[in-house]
Amino acid sequence: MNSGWSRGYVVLAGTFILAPLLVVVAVAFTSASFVSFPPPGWSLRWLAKVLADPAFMRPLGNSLVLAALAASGAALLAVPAALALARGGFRGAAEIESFLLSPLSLPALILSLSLLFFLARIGLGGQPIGLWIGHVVVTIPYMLRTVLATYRGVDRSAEEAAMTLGATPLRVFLHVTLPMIRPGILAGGLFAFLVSFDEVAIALLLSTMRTATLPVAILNHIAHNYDPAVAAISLINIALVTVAMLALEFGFGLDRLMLSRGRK
Amino acid sequence: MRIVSTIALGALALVAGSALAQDKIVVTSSGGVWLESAKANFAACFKQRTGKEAEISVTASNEIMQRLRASPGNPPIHVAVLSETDAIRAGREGLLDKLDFAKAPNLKDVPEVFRKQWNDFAVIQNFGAMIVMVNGEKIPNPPKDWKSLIADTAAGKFGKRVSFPSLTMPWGPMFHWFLVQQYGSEDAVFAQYKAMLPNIAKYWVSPVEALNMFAAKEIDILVYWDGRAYAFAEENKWAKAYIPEPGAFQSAAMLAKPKGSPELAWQYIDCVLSPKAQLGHAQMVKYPIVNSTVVYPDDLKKILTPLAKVRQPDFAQIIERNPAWIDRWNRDIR
Amino acid sequence: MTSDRRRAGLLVAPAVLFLAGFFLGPLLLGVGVSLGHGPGGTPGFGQYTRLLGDSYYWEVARNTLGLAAAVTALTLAIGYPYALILTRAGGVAKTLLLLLVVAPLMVNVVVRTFGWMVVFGRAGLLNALLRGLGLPELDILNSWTAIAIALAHVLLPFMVLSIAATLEGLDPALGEAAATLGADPWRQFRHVLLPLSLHGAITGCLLVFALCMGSFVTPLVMGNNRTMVLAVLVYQQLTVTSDWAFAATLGLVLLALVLAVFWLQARLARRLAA
Repeated sequence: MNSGWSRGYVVLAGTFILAPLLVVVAVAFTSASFVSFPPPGWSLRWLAKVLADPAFMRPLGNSLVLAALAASGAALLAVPAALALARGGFRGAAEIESFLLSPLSLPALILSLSLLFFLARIGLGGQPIGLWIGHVVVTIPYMLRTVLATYRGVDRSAEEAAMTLGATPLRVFLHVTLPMIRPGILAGGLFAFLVSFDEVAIALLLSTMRTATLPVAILNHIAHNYDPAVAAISLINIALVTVAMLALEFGFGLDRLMLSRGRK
Repeated sequence: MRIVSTIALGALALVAGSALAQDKIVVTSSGGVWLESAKANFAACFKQRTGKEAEISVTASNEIMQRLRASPGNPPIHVAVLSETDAIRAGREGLLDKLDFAKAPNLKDVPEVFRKQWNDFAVIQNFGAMIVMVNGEKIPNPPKDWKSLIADTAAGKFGKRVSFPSLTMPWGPMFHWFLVQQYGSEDAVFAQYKAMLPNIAKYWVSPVEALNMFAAKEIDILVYWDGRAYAFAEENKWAKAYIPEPGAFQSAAMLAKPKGSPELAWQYIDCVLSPKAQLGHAQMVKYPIVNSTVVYPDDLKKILTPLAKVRQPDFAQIIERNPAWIDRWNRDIR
Repeated sequence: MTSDRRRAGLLVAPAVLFLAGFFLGPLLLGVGVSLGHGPGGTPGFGQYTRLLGDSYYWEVARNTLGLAAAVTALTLAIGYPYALILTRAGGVAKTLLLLLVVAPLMVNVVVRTFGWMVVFGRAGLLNALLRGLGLPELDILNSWTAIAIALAHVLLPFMVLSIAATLEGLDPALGEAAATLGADPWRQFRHVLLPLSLHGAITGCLLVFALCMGSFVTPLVMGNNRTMVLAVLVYQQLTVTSDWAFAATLGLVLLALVLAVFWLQARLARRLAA
C-alpha cells in the first residue's frame, strides 16, 4: 500500500474517531456546572474534583483490578480450549466452539439478572467472586476467538517438528506454540480487559458497595446529576490507557510483544 | 511474577472487602449531591445516635428490587430508597416490613398522604415535580398551562424544538397519568402525543440526554425535573423554569425497610425523617421534604414546588395499566 | 490417537465446565422464567405466542438484524485498511494507532453520545462544515444513520484488533517473496494477505455483530420509536414494566437470532474453505 494513501486514510479515520471525543475532552475542562459545548470558560475544577473524590477513584481502582482478573481468568480457561479446538480431530469440536462463543450473544441484561438469581441460589449471592465469574463468562469468547483465529492462520509444522525431536508438550507449548499465538492472546487480553472495564449490566447487579466498578459509579452518578465530572473521568481513563501503553512501548516495545515469528 | 502478585493482592482486597462487619448497616441513596446529603444529614445522625456506621450504597431502585428478590428474607440492603411503583410492588411481594411508629417515632410528623398508597410499607423521604424549562431568549412568553403548551407544540408554533418525556422512561407513566387526568381519557392523550410528534425533537428517555439537548440548544422547550431545572436556570441566564397550570404530578423517593434487615435500620429511617436532617436534605438537594414540623427559610421556599401544586398519581392504577400503555406507545408514537 | 483425544478433552474441559455452570445454569433459569416459572408468571408458552404472533416484534427483529449487519459491514470497511496500516507501522506510530482506535472505549457512553450530538446536531459541527462548503445541511440525529455511525465508532477496535492479530502472526517474508516474484499489490493482497487474514476478519465480524445485537444504550439515547431494536425492548421490560418473563423471552429470541447467524456463518465458511 502506498504510504501517501495510508497517511490520508489515517487522517480520515482519525477525524472520525476523534471528533466526538474531542468534544468530551473540551467538556472535561469546562468551568460551567453543566455539560455544554462550546464551554463558556476553562478550568481544572472537574478534573480536580474527580481525582479527589473517592466515589470515583475507588471504583476506578476496582475496575482496573477486576478487568485484570477477568482477563487472566478468561486467558487461563480459553487459551487451552482454543488450542484443542483449532487442532480439531475430535467429535463435537464445532459444537463446543459455538457453545464457548455463545455468551457473546445473550443480552447482558438478561445474563446479569439470571446470574444474580443463580448465584444467590447456589450460595454465592452478594459475594465479590460473583462479579468476577460474570465478567469471565462474558470475556471468554473474545479470548477464544482471537486465539483460535491466530492459531488457525499460522503454520503449525514447527510444533510437529519439535515434538518429533522429543520435546515435552510443555516445552513445545512454551517455546513454539506460545510465541505463535502471542498476538492472539494480546488482542484477546486487551479485548477482555476493555470489555470488563466498560461492562455495566452485570456489574450493576453483581457488584457490592465495596466492589462497585467505575461504569456503575458513573451510571449512578448521572442518573440524578449531570455535571462535567463524567467527561473528566473519561479523560482520566484515556490518560491512564495512554500512559500504560506508552510505558509498554518504551519499556518492552509493543512491536516485540505483538509480533512473533518472522521478524526476530 | 510481580504482576501475578499484584493481581493476587487485588483479589484479596476484593474478597476482604466483602466481609461486612456486623456493626454496620447498608443503606441506599442516589449519587452526587444526593449521596453527599445522605452522608451529611442521615448517616451523620445515625452515627451520633447509635455510634455505628451506615454504609451508603448508590443503587437505583430497579437494581435494589432485583437484589431483594434474589435473596428474600436475607436482604443485602437494610434501608432501601425505592421508586413509588417499586415500593408498592415490593410491599405486595412481601419483601418489606410495615412502618413501625414505635421504632421510628418521627413518622408521626409525616402526613398520612405520604405513606397511605403504600399501605404503610414505605414512606416518602422527599418529593419533586416535573415542570417546564424554556430558552427565554427564543420564547419569552411560554404557554401558561399544559394544554396550551401541548396544543401550541402540535401546531408547530415552536418548530421541531420541543422535548417531552417518553412514556418509557421510569417516570413517564406518571406524567402520562397526569395528562390523562386533564384530557379525560387515555385515547385523548395518545392522540396528543401523535399530534405533537412531527414537532417533537425527541421524547426523551434519559434525564441526561434531555439536558444534553437543552444545553446544546437543540431544543427550546423541555419538560424536566424542578430541582434540576431551577439549578440549571440559575447558572444559565437564557434558561427559565416555571410550573404550568394546573400544577404538576408528584414524584418521590420512597424509604423502606426490607424484611429481614436488622432492627437498627429503624434508627436510620427515624434519622431521615427527623426535622434537622430533613431541612438539611432540602437545602442540599433542593427538593421539598415531608416532615410537617419543618419550616423552610425564604430562599428555599421560592424554589421548592409547594405541596398544593402537586398531584399524587394513583400508583396502583399505573402499575396495572402500564404494560398496555408502553405497548401502545411503542407501536403508535412513531 | 486416543491420547491426543484425551489431551484435547483435558484442554477443553475447564472452559466448558465453567460455562456449563455459570452460563448454562443461569440461562436455564432464564428459560424457566420465560416459560412462566418466575415471580408472578403463569406457566406455559404464553410469552412466546405473544411475541411470535405479533408482526410488530417481527418488524423490530428485522430492524435489529439489519442494523447489526450494516454496522458490521461499516466497521469491516473502515477497519480492514486500518488493521493493515496498524500491522505495518512500527514503534511509537503503532502504539499511537492502537491508542487511537481503542480510545472510544475509554469514554463513557453517555458523554460520548453528547459528543455525537454536538457533531451531528442541527447547529452542530458537521452542519457548520457543510454550510461552509456550500452543501445542504443534514438532520440525522435520532435516526438509524446516527445510531449506526455511533456504534461503528465504538465497535471499530474489535474489528481492527481481530484482523491485526491474524496479520501480526503472518510472516512478512511471504509478502516480500510474492513481491520479488513479480506479483502486483492487488495480486499480493488477493492471494497472500486476504486468505491469511480471513480468520481475523470473520472473528471481527462475529464480535461486532453480536455486540451490536445486544447493545441498547446507544439505540436508546440516539434513536426514537422508529428505531426500536430488541435489546431496547428488553431494557424497557426490565426497567419500566418489570415484566421479567417477557424480557427473558425477548432476550432468548435475541440469543437464538445471533446463534442462527453464527451457524450460517460457520456453514458458509466451511463451503468457502472447501
